[in-house]
Amino acid sequence: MNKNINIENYQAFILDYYEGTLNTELQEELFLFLEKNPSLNQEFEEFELIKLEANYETFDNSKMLLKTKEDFYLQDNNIIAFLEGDLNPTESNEFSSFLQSNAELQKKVSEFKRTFIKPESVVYPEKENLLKRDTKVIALRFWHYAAAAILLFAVGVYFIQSPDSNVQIADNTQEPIPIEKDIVLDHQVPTENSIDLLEESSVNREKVKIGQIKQNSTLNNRDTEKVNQHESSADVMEPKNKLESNSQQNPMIVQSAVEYNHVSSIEKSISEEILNDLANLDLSSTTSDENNTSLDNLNAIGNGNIYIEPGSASRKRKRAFKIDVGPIDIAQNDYAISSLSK
Amino acid sequence: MNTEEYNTCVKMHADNVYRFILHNMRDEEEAKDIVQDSFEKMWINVANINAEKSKSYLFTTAYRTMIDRIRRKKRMVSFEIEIHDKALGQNQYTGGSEVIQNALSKLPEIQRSVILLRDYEGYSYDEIGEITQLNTSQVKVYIYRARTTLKQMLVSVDNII
Repeated sequence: MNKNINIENYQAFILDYYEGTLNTELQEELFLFLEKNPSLNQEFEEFELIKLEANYETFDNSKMLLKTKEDFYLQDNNIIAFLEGDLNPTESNEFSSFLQSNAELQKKVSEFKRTFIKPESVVYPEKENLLKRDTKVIALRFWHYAAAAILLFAVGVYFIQSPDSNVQIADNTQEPIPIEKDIVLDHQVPTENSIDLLEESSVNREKVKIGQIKQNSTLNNRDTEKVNQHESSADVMEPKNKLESNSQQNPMIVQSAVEYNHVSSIEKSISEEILNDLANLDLSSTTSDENNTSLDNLNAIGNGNIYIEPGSASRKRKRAFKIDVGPIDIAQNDYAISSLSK
Repeated sequence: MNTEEYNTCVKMHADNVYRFILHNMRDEEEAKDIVQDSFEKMWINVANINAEKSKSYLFTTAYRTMIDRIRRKKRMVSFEIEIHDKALGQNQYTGGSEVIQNALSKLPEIQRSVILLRDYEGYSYDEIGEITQLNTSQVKVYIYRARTTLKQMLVSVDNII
């Protein structure tokens, strides 16, 4: 059996048979296939009956469908084509001639002309930012190198020979000036000499170096840590302990109340308050707990540290200010403030 | 294309490409961003661009950048409300003939683009096809449809008035 004819495509062969396009060889194969599939014989025989007869109808209004060239150009697409310049020269000429005589076409053309958007002037406001500039590499010539070397040499010589180069920045590592041995911050009753020397130091308050305060007001983090460590180790809130562990070599920490928002007034205020407090300091009172409470601003003395509470209640809100003061040299009526922190 | 030619391109075409994007997006800030992006892309490839094709390159880049942004926004459904609000906001472009602009805004995105390229920049069908990645016949069809739609809109507005 020929593999060309099977149950899937036999209908096409039947159709070809009835249309007379099936050759003899395939006809034989088709009949052989139908013999082997008798159930399809009925379909084969009935297929001939399925035939439509043509009916002839007439459309009376066919004339209405006829179009003229004018109608053709009245079409939207052709109007657009005319306005776009897409018509060939012949069509364009015909269109133009119809346009002159046809009002409807004129109206349509006029409407479509409005769809052609006229360019308006729009300025991009950031045009300058888009512009690029060439980056040129300028080769350094010999004299550029020479000038740079001379400049570096001159700067180096200046710093080497400058007297300021020996200036040391005050810090806590500075060698402390020993306090007169007669001044002892202790439970012991101070001698007259010590009180006199302390009072003398307070009288000469003008000798406090404001410049040192300014210099030290720029306290760096390392100094802040040192102050904090010192404060915690000294335990400034316990005056008795400090009094017991008094050491002349340790710096004083004076915590004063100053205005927060004015650095210059802070410096002035601190310097004045330090001296006022020192001037009013009655060391004899430190030997008695009762007298301790009578101090206005000084609350604690010990281990070389002085802690001053914020000022009187009449003041506005204050912020504590710490000054790390080097050992007081009473004999010189002077002391160095080696750090300042808020 | 060298720096000088690039700068010439900026001076000559920045306004045009801005206008093209502005009328498509109707958002001044968005249009500025797209113009800037397009010129940055152009600058990155400046060595590979023929100066004579710079305008076409610029419009193609700007158009694709705009389409990318529009599609990205469309994906963000929740963002549509913002787009609507934005269209009513301060960045909304209100220049030009209001009637024409409103009609333009109602056109499908591709029709608006091709008609703007055609009318504002005077591009040929082929050039528009190159920019919008359409063939010439498609460009022509879109332009014709756009004009037909615009005409209907404009006529209907006239009738209302």
